[in-house]
Amino acid sequence: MKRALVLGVATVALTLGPAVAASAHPLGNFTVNHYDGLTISSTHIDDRAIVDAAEIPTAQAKPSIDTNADGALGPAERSAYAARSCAAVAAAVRIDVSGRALTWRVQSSAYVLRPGAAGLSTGRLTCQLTAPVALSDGARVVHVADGYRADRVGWHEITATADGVHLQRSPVPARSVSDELLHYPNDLLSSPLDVRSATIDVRPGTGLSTFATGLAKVPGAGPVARIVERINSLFANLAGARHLTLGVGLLAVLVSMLLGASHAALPGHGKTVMAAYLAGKRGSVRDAVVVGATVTVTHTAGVLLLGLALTVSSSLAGDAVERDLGVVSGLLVAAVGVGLLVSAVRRARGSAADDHGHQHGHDHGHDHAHGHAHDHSHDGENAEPHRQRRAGLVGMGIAGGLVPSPSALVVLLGAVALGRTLFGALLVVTYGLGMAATLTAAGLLLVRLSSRWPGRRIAGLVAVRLTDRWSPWLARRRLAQRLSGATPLVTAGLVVVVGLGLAARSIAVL
Amino acid sequence: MSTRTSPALLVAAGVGCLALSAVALSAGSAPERHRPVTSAPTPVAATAPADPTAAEIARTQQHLRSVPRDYNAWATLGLDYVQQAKVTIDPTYYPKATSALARSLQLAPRDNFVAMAGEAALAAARHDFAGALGWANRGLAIDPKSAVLEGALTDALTQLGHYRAAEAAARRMELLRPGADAEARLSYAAELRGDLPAARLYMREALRDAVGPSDVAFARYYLGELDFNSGHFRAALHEYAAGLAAVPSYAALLEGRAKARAALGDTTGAIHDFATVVSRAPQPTYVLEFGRLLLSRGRNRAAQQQFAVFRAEEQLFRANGVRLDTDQTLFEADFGDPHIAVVSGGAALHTRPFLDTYDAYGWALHRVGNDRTALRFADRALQTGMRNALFHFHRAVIEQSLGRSAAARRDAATALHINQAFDPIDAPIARRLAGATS
Repeated sequence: MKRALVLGVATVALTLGPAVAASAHPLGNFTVNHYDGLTISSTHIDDRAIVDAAEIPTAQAKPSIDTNADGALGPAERSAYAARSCAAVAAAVRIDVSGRALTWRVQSSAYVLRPGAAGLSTGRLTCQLTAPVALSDGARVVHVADGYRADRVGWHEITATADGVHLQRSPVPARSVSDELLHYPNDLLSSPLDVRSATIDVRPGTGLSTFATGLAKVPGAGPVARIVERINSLFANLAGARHLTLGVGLLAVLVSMLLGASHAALPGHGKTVMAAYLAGKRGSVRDAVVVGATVTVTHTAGVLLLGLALTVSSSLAGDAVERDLGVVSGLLVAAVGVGLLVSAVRRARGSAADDHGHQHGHDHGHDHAHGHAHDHSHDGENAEPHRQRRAGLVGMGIAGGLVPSPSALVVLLGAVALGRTLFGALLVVTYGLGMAATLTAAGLLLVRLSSRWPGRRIAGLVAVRLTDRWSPWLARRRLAQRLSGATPLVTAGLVVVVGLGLAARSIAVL
Repeated sequence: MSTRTSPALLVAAGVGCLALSAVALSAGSAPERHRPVTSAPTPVAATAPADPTAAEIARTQQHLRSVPRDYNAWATLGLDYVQQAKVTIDPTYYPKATSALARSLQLAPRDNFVAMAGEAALAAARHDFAGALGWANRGLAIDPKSAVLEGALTDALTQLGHYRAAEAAARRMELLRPGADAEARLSYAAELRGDLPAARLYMREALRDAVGPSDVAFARYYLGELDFNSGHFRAALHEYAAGLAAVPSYAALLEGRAKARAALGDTTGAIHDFATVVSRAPQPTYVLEFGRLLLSRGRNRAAQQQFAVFRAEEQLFRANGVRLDTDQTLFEADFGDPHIAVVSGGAALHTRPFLDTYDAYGWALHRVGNDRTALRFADRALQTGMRNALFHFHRAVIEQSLGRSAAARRDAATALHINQAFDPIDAPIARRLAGATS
């Protein structure tokens, strides 16, 4: 029976003891902690490798340090142990440059004992390793993996700085968060660092480690996104407020609507696609409203379903589901685009298609009911059937609302956790309404613009598209489109391409 | 040394006992998968671990950054931290668990049964079984249908010596949520009653209901222990191997294999395994077992090195105001100061009135010459009918000192009948005792 008990108590006791935490090893008395501080220059790579062993592994190492068995660890014994251990570290820290393995040379080694808990010591091994390399003549990939005593529990950290070369998007920071294993950060909401390997692109030239640009790549790190983020946390806190008053509730509803609206304004919500669709189909106000309503319904249903699934099953990962839905959403857009393409091709075959188109757009501007009737009576052979047209719009709306917004999901789950499921659901609905408002507004803007100045339809398209992250890419398309006179064929092709792009982006997140 | 580990306690926080595997996997390969998680600041560890508990922890951490007042999430995080501490043997999770559960109970002091389950698991890990019992009962008063709380209750009752009540709680747990967690506890209850067939059956069911490799490793380990402790070393070796195939780094399975190899005469293999175990997870029990094996094979110096490590651990425990339980009592009784053993064993009677405690205390009393009282405790260790070779051996030696040779012979023979190689040092002594007059 003892074994498991001890397994439990040993670990707890060694760290949980009252007021002992101050003197005991901050990462637990069993740990062996690793740090590799790389400095990459054009002629050589240095590694400041540090191994910080807590009380127990230090006690375990004692017999092998105390070679004369006198019970004391003299300077000669310690430096001999340091030399042996650093040789082992040099062998265990594997490094290669574009596939070619390097061999470390130990420049210096040191082993110091530092006072730990209960009169015991902790051992700190410092190895200065170096390896010659030629990095000045082109791009290289440096890969490093620390396998020294990998089976021991502990902190694993790697940093990299450049000296005369440029580190392209280094995955590891330039500075040690633990101050080279001297001060371990202890954040309640993070797990111990476990970085055992790193792959770094090295280019000739100068420049600091570009870890910061890696951070900037996180979606939505711009000022707008930061404001949205602020509203986000306000929202989350409102929904999680301990005492829910009417005022707070209404405020939460309002904020959720605002948040939904701003969320839809962020990139990746098929606004471009919808705009292109409406442009291609000479859409009406009613069409824009249909899309908006579908977005609300789809998004609300999606969040509620996913929220339910996440509550029921702990094995489901929210972000994985979102990724999959992103793919589905993109493919749906592409499918709608293909449908558009087919009908555009059909229409192009009809001779009067172009003339008719202008007039058609005009009509839709003021009377939607009439617009549809118009479709049927005048456009018999080229216009698609009413149902198919509606299906296209609904499909577009579904695509727009299919990927549940993480913030809506967080709020729902938070509300469920606090036993306020209905309130959470209400917030999700209003969130969806906010999203729909933005998308509908975008659609309406387009419809207005195109109905007043049929020739300026493209301008509307551009206006809607301005917020979209695809804009630089689309700008070229837009030009091409202008050149070709904005045929429905091009807009349909655009929808297909954007849909595929959205799907590809979701897959790429993998 | 060959007594069986308490599955209950390993299960205690290891509800759904997960993911040593993933830890092992991430140890070697771990190609960091950076995923742009929604928007919150990236935590220090940017790696996305593959195992479910770690993934759930990451998700809950993320969630709490945006909803910091969600007491339920704090409670879940606390429970997960306790579990992760056990699974990874990384003790840094315990202080985190303490703080997370405290935060949860601060936000919602009443009706917060998830946090209470977490506190119960944490108290049990600390060996505060009375505290664990209190938390489990408080939680069950709020949610009588919680399987996790019934599990915590089972574990606390077992260690406090209320075996019938514990088994009843395990049965309620099985009704609430049938599965490996409940079956492992029922197996343990059966084993404590001496009903090995039932214990095996339940553990087989736990294996059948295992979800994921670490559940498999867990069940295999206890199946191996049931075999080893009844002297079926080859069968045990088979179970340990099957477990290691599921999770190659599972320290307990390596320790099991080391014991079985030693029992089968493969000293080299056993020493190699033990060296790996204590290097990877230097739990005091493993260190002590390794030392005993080395000593029995005449490698005194190497044995003393392991004992020195054990003493260092003892020192740390004492500094932290925690007793090292029966390990310390038996170590001091055999290799140290028997008077210390009596003090430590006597203190444990109050905090953990369990079979092991009675046995160790009886053995300590014997070593200071108080054989009459020693026999009373040796009897109490065997009161439930548990088939435990070490308990029988200890009673045999005590009886011998009291001049009851026939009883001593009988108990020594029973010990060897249960397991002919229950301990590398004690089994040969038992053989001499059993064959003394026959």
